[in-house]
Amino acid sequence: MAGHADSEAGAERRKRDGLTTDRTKLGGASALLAAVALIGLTEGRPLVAVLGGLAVVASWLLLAPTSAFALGHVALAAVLPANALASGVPLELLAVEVGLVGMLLASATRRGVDAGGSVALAVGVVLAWTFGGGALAWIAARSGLDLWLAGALVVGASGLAAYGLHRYQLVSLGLVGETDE
Amino acid sequence: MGVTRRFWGEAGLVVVLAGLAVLFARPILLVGAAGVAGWLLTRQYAFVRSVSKVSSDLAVAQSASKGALRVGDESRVLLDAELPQPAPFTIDFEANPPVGLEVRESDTDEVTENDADEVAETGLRASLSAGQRAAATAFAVRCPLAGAFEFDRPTASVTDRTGRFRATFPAGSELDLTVNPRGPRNVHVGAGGEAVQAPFGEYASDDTGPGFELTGIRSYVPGDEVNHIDWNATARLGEPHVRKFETTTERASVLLVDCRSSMADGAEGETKFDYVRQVALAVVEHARDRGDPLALYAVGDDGLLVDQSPTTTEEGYRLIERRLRALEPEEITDDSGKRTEAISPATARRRAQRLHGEDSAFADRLEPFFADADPYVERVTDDPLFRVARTRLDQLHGAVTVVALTDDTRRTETREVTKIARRGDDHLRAFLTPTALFEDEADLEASYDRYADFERFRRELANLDRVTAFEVGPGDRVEALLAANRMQKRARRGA
Repeated sequence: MAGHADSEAGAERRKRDGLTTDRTKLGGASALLAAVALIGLTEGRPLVAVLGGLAVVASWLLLAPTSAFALGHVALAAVLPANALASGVPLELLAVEVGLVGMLLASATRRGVDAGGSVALAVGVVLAWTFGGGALAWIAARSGLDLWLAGALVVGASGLAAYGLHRYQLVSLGLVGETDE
Repeated sequence: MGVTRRFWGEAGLVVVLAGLAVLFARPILLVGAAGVAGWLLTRQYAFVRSVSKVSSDLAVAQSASKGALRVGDESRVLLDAELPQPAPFTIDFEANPPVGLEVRESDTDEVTENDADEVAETGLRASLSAGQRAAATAFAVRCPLAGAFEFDRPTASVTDRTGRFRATFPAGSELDLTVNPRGPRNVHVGAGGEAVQAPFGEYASDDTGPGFELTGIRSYVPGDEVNHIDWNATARLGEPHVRKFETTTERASVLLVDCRSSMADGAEGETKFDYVRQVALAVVEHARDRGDPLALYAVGDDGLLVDQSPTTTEEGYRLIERRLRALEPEEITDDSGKRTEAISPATARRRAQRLHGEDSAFADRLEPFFADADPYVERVTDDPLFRVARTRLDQLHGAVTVVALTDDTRRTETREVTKIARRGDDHLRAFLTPTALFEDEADLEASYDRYADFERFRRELANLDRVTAFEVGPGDRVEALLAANRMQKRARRGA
């Protein structure tokens, strides 16, 4: 009873603050698609694939789409052999990625979340970053690039972009002078 | 812009995935890191855009019911925020009052009726919930110190709807509040309700002699100095005439300031003494301008508080000013708080004679008290103002103008001080604070009667030779009493 009351109070507070969850029906469908595609992977370790699929759905339900997306990729890394990307991108892998990326896109473009006025931009940024990461991973797998450098590029570019947005906001709010001193 | 733990958790996920990719040589994990990072950037960009739009559209007004107030007064401050469109997320506002102001929550009902229809909150903070367009709050500020106070711009705080980012930015404008010290306002110095412009003016002298002010011409008599001959008048009138000049004399001024407990009547900062102090300071300024010697004697309930001999130096004038500013009337020490007044010798004698003629048990009982001692002599002699006037004024040489600053509660003693102060060629300027002007009495008619009684007393003094008597008090109170009297007269005529 107490837990029920707490969850009601939490929901009330979230409603007052206008906080929304990141989960949508489309996101749920995408999570299911990713889980099914993961379980259906023909190569690798099937038991790990099943556990990974369940973990994706569970984390989407209990945590957030970002956690499910990350867990999905950890499961992929565990299931697929180390040189899976070196010989090309298998179709089953693409199906898993479609499900995982679909989860992210569904929450990034959901109605009610302040999307900044541009759904296309949100989709574009998510896709560009994911494909960019994929491209770096593919190049690294083919030994065209050191993996540590590819990792540093992903983290560095993301950090730089986030800092740029932070500075842009300071300027737009007129806080530059106050924060620089 | 700030971020929450939720954001840091997801940013950490990006780093962990990238680290795991390198550690276990699994490039596929980089896709996961890049996807989460891209998603976070999308949310950040959306938040930045929303906050920028909100900050440009948001209208926050900060207003005070009174922009200028006096120490101890309260002013209600209203913080009002409005958006042209529903808020995309909850926006919290907070007023930033300066240090030194005491803040207390305002009465919501009072604020709602007077200021805004939508004031639902009190205190420094207001919240504009997601989907709403307006919010307001009100609070009261009180300042125990005088000075200029500036409220910083109100602060708006927002958190994005997924709880990852937050931003705090100033919105609206500053608010200036001036807190003036409590003190006499509209100091009225006058007579019979009429203000007098120059109560410390020149003193007339009956003597003529060497000086600068021409008082007239007269016929030449042997012994007059040749350089005093007015040649134009001599030519015009056909016989020698000389010019007469008013003698310039240096007249010492003596400030006799009453600091006894009765001078504490009135509101804080607007007591009888506060008004009298303004007059005393003006006298110092006047003496300084003329270079007149000035002395200060301040009297409390138990005797002399300040004994400053005549001075003509700038330092001396400054010292007198400092002492005047530091002086405060004494507190009433008598448990009952009631003051007794001495009776004059004439009244005492009259009462004794009346008692003598009485043939009753009551008269028999009282007669010994009147026969054994004259209470008046003891009482007046004990009066500190009288005692100081008698002892100190006798020590001064030359022409003296006594400026007595007191009230009307001890009239007999004041009359006696008047007698001492106008001995010889000395003058007295009495500045009296009518008690009727310092009462909280709501009944203006009753106050007017007491004021009229004071006016009779003032005229009695002013009719004496070399005595000028003025009333000192709050001008608005004088006007209120006179207006009440006029209305009363009109009503009587109408009836």
